[in-house]
Amino acid sequence: MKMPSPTELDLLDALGARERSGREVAQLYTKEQGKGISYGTLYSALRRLVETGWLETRDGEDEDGRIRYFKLTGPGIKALPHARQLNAIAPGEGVIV
Amino acid sequence: MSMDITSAREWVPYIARGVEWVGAAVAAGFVGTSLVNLLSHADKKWVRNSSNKRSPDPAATGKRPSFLRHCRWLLSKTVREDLDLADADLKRDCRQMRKEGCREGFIRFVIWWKSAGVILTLLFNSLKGWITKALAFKALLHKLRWW
Repeated sequence: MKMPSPTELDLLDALGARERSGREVAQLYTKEQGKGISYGTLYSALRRLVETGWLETRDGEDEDGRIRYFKLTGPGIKALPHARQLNAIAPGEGVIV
Repeated sequence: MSMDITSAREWVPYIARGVEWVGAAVAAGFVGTSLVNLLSHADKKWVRNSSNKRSPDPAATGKRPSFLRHCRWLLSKTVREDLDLADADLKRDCRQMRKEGCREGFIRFVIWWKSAGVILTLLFNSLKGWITKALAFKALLHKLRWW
């Protein structure tokens, strides 16, 4: 499992253990970090996290269009504290097995 | 048969009064019909047709800038999915701001600003992907030449 970048790690923290939509993650990220995130950056980062096995997705739909829900995978939940420690030492580097 | 001009002139004020009343009745009918139409269609979704080219309220219908749709063809299939998700989220933002009672000009500016951010980020990511692939291909060619 590839080590997430600092921004991706912040997004994982904002996501927490619950299943949330991309918009909810963006709102929580803004609340926690005190700075906004573009939907383009958000969905690109979340897609990378899905590809590297940190997150799993579920697609839904409402009156405004598609919604994608994101949730931490089992290995992702286990590796997250270790990733936080590694990020404090060397941000964005290394591989978590 | 001849008409008495003096008696005809006597009818003129009555005819003018009649025309005024008919005009007032037509105007009242027009205003009444408009009001009834407005009230009866207030909660109905706006549908585009030949006599109604533009949305009466872009913010209420969640209209986003069209350049998001026009830039789709520049992006790869996976990034297009991200664009669709971002587009739907912008629509939700628009609806939420509308609910909160923000001014229409402000809503339009925020949505335009966010849309520009979305498309620039996605285009930059696509470009970065292309450059990475091109550099990898160049490195492969270099290795082949070296061997």
